[in-house]
Amino acid sequence: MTVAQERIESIRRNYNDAADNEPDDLAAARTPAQVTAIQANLAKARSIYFAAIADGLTKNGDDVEEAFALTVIAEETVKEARARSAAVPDLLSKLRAATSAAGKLYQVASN
Amino acid sequence: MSVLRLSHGAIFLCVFTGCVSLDKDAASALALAGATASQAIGDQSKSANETVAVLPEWWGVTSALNCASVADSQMRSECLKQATTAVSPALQSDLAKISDVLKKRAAAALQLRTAYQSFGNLVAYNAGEELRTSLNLTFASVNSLLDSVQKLTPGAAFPPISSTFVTSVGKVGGFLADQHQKKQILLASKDLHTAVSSFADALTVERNKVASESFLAQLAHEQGTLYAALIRSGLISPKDALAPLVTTLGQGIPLSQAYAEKNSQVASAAAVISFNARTKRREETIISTYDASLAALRSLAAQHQKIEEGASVSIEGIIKDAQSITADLQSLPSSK
Repeated sequence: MTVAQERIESIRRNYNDAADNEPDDLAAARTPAQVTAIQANLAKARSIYFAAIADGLTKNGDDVEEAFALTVIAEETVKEARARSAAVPDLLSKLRAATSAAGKLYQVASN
Repeated sequence: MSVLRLSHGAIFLCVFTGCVSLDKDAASALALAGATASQAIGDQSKSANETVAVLPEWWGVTSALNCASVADSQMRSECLKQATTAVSPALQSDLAKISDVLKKRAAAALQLRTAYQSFGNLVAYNAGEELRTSLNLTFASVNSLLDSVQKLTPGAAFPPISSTFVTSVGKVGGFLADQHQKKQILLASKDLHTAVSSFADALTVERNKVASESFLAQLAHEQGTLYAALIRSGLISPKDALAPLVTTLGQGIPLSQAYAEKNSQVASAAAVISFNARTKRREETIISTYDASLAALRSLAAQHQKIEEGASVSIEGIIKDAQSITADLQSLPSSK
């Protein structure tokens, strides 16, 4: 079973990945919509992280374990996309999926 | 005659109320250690809380600076439109919740610091009234913290604590006065013991500890992200940003301004790499200071136990923990 620390750190990694890579992601953007989407993803990832901190994410359950496993998979997918310098639309879809997974983890593990 | 009278008084006191065996020097040392440790814990929470207030500004500035990466001017304008200090109501509410816990933690720690100072004054010149006021305020602050932790932690029990310290006494002198003072020190030690134990319990509860450690590390990360954006933008000279690294080499040779100007992209990339590495180290260190706070509070509780048993105390570990927290504070983000 996962503990609160692993859940919070997973959500934190998603936020920091979006924040740390924002300059490069913006540089790769080709349309105004992509720019906005990159910024929106960062804002969403940030909100989820601070909501997780305010809550503590100590609720347990099978749904929590499942949501945590999905955040790990999504994180790996983003890493892989970054490693192969994926095109912005592809990267954006993976970033959104990772942030959605983090949001789902927050939702099911929050008290 | 007077000696005989005192002896009778002493015997009376010892037979009916029990003589107090207490090392006043140990109590003095513990007062100093308690004040030092609680000051450090209070300062850390206060500083973290001040940083929470400026996070939206940091995010807005970082976001604006990062827009420089967008080559197309029209797209850059779109990017800058989103760069703002405004945060969503949900995020604002979560930041307020975090700030509330930090404020209560700082208030409890700084009130505890005052109580330890008064404890020292009680040992030095019998300042019982002063200590009674300090202890009452400390218990109120710790109870407020316990209440907020209890609300955040379903199923956890943090019953409120209450002071047992009393100052009332008739006019006594000599041995009786000394015994009375020792009894007061003992009572005060028991109160402080209760307060530090409850404070440590509140900080130890998993939900509080895990979130606090992650949050403190994240503050360092947020600082690093803003600093990296400032370096990339050229608003902070890469040469200055690399200076701490060069200082560690210990040769005393200054960096070349001319090179940094001619090769700004290379110098900037090197400076960001160096700064990110420093930030990562800071994040790891800052987590250990939370553990140092807990260790200091637990050690204080253990030393109170010794005072109550009439034994001497050991405060070196507490002072060391307090120093590690204070040293770390110097590199904590400051909102001032």
